[in-house]
Amino acid sequence: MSYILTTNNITKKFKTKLAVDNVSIHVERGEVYGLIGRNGAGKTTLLKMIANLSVPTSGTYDIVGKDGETKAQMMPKVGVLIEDPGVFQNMSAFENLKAKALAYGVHDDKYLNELLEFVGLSGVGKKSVKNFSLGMRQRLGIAIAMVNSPELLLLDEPINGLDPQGIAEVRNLIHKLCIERHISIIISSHILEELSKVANHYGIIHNGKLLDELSNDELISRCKSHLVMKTSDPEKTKALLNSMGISDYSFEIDHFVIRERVEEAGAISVALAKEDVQTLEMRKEGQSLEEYYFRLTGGNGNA
Amino acid sequence: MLNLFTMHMYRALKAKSSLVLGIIMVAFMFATFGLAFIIFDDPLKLGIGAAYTQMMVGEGSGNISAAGAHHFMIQSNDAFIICLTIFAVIFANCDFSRGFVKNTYGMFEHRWKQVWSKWTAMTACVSIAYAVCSMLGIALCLGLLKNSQFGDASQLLRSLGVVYLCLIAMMTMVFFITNLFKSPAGGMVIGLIIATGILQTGEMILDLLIAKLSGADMNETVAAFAGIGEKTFFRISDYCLDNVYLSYTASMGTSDTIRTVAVALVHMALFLGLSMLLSEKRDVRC
Repeated sequence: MSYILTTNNITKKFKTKLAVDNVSIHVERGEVYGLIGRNGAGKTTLLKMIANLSVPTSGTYDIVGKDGETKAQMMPKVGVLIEDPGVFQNMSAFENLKAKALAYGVHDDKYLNELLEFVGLSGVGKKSVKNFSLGMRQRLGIAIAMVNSPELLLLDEPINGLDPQGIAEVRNLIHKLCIERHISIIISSHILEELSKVANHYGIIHNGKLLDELSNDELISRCKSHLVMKTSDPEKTKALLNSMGISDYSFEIDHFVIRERVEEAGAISVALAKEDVQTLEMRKEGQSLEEYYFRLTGGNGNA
Repeated sequence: MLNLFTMHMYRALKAKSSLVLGIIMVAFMFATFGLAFIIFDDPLKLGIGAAYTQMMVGEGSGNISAAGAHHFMIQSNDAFIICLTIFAVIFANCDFSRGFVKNTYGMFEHRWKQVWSKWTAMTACVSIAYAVCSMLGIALCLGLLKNSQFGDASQLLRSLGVVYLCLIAMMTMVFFITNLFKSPAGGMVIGLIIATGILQTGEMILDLLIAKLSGADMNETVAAFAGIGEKTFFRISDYCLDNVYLSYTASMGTSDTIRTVAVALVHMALFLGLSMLLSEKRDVRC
């Protein structure tokens, strides 16, 4: 397996607060890695350390290029959009791109114009960034992060504060970056529904600790589905389930939750009918990323 | 690092504050020249002019030389160092306050390279401003004042060089203070305290205290401060950047000139080194 980024027990302590606690993440080349956690969980601090904006208290991280480039060689190939886009407000979108391009030795104005077109800002002309909408700024931030043709892109809460259309635009942009440009992306968010639409690998961070790291396939298998069943005679139903060898179930208030042999819903229903037990309700349910996250962190409400 | 230097020069040229400060600087040059015109150009006021040049420029004839003009237009003109301070603070802080630094700070494993690039760009900008203002000041004085003469070229070159080193050292100090306090306020306050000479008063009090504690004759001490006696005791102010800058004149002796240059170079190296060290150890504020 080819990892573009690995962190090795990376830790960040601010005076008495442990913001990131021995976190080891593994990001495969070409994937979108979703970093999940509440506000203040340590996502931004972790990304800042990877972006060399913050010095780790202990631990290390390594970035390896596709041709075996070392961390020092790879650092100019990391694009960053952490929190708000870092832009000079009085400059135009092009001038902001130009400033970063000069820093990285990119002297191709045509490429910069292509980037503006790529993020849908080709028509803004000389308009100052201070007059941009939040969505436009966010897209400009992504364009700036792209100037140095990065192999690894760090996006911290890129959809924060955006309207639904803006969210969809950024989501499409991330898909394009991954598919068309084969860029590995780490994207942090507390909006899990959106994150699940773009990421194919997840790291769940809570109170500075990495609780779990899993791929999309692993998530599907872990978020296994279950049957919710309401019958006319719970006692007879219990006896029937036991006689069928089904043991992983529970009775909650007025319904059963069956967690094994979910695919045999029809057979259970037929067996109940034979025992003169009416099936009042039967449905299959599955856990979402959000439910899995809450189960793992023991929380509820918004992540 | 050259690329980063180019980026910093680009943003300096694009920033409105650079343009505004440039205009203010040139406007103050003309205002200072107006003052020079009043003091030096009227033959009837030659006595005042002679006394003033003796006091400010160190030339007793009443005629003003190129070195004297440079001293009067740059060193005695507080506007230049105030503008330099404001520029240094804004330039050092702007990419941090706007968050632009996030886009470039991760490009090197060692962040001292970022500090070095920014410092060289700031030095380039200050050098351009210094060259323009020096040339403008000297040209105005020599071209338009009746009792002016070019004078000793080596004295002018020495003055240009020593004052330049002091200004760059001052800029480096303000650069460090701005980085240390993570805000423009600290750098601005310290810079303006230096520029207005307030710090000199404190240094003088410290010198007097040292003289008193070391049992020096206070009459001789005060006379030495007034420049009419020999220095018989160690003075901290002789090694403070603000004092050596403000008290330097082209007519100073070789040992005092060497001391001024050494103080400037030591301050420059010290504060640049500390800025680099700070960048390696601290998180980037953005």
